[in-house]
Amino acid sequence: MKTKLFILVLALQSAWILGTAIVQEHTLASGKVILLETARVDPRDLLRGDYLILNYKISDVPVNLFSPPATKDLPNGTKIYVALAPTTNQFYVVTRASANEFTPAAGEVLLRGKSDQSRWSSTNSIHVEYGLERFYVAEGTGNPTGKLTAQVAVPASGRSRVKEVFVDGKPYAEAMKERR
Amino acid sequence: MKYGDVQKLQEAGLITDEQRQKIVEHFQLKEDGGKFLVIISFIGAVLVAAGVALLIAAHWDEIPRGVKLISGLALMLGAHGAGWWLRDARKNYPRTGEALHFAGSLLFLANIALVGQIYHLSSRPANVFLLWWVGIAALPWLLRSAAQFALLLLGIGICFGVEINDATSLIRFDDEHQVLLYALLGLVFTGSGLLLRKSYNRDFSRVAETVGLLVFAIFSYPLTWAGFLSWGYRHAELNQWLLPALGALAALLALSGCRHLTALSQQWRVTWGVTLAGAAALLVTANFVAQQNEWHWFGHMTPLNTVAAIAFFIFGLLQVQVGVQERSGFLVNLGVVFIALDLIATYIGLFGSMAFTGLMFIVSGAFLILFAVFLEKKRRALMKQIKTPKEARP
Repeated sequence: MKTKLFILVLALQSAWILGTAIVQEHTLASGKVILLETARVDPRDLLRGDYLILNYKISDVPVNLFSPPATKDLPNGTKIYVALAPTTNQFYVVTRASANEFTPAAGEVLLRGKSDQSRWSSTNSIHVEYGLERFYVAEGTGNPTGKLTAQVAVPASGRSRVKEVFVDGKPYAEAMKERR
Repeated sequence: MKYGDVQKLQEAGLITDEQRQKIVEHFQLKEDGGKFLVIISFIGAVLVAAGVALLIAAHWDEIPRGVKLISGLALMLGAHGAGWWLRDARKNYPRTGEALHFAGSLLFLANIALVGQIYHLSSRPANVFLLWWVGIAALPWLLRSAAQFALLLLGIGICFGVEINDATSLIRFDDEHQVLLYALLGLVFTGSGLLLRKSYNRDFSRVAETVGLLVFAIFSYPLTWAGFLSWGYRHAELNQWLLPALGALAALLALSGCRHLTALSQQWRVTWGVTLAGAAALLVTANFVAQQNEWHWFGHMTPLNTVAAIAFFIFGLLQVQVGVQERSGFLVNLGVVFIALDLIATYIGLFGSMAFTGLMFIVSGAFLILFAVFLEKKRRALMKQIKTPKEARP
């Protein structure tokens, strides 16, 4: 009986690992792919190694784009829904935002995030974290120079994932290999 | 009494094989030679898990993510599978098997980190450890493994520590006073261990008590440092109920668990229970002691530090006495070590003005050397007393 339960626990552990991988793979494969402008800083995680903290232009959402109107003193961790639309240079920018879920217009994608008041943002904007802020990289390659752009997969749920980061238009790993 | 000593008594013809067997069963003695194997095996398991974690952290772009995931999973299941084979199927290497299960549980954490890395997930760190803890929570009971139970306690400590240091947490407590919470958590473990003594899980009680008292001693010791907790900004958003609640839980567990200390007399059971509960009460009180308004370059003994130093000293003495009655070398050694550390901290805290510094050094240095000799003599005498059977004592 105990052996069966032990196998069940291992199966649950494995199921979580594989299940999470499948969900993420599905998001990356089926989500609408958009490009975002970003900049970075490079810390190190004890378990997962070097990573870039990506700070997007869409991370600071101007309060005047909120409907219904929002103020800067929004509670920390409030769910925020942000609609993005492409500009002429193919990068997506914020068109509107709300603390309530809404249906994006044609040509828009909807991202789900949380307000983060612990981070500095300009007086007329609210800082939003989308879960896209970390990009794990190979050991010792967390110091890129050049323009960074992130390719993000956005599923219908709005829980987006970073698919790739480009340095001056080249995939991150490839660009960093060339610079070694 | 050690297994080897009983063996020697039989070899010398002082006891029969049957008597040897009865003594071994009575004291639940285990073969001594296994200890080295256990230590080596567990160091090996930790090294393997740490090595895998570092390889994951190095993040090799060249390896496809599917291969990484399958390799991580295979390593984890392989460690558990090999552990089960050695411990339960063949039953000839139980300790190595336990060490492999231990590695398997650590590798589950490594796999969670791997998934997070591959898909660039930026979840709260506390959730990562909570997920790991939930994933391994049933294993101590399913495998009847003290090592898994110790890992579970460690997991609680890590989850708790990461959670209270998260600025978005409901139980946020990220200032210097958080040591009080860890010390209280140690007392909660100790109290839980005492309660486990009379339950189906009594084989885990020793682990909980040992880990608990060690955690309590390590995290309450800084209170004896001059100036500790006397100055510093306290955030208004810190949780207000967590510390009293944990203190009440620790006191309750200690008071109700102490009745299971059957080796102690009724008077000492009550004394030790009240001591543990009193320690919890003092830790809670320390959180509400007013801080100084002025900052000093060199910390000096505040009333809080003085009370803590005296209380810590008394606690150590009582712990040694309980250790002697319980025939626990660990309790005695831990008590003596932290009494010595308490004295050193107090000595440094009471360090006088510059004019007397030289004289203080000489007098106190000589005192400490002599006191160290005295403590060592006392420790040896106590250890000897523990090893001597009760009946043989005068």
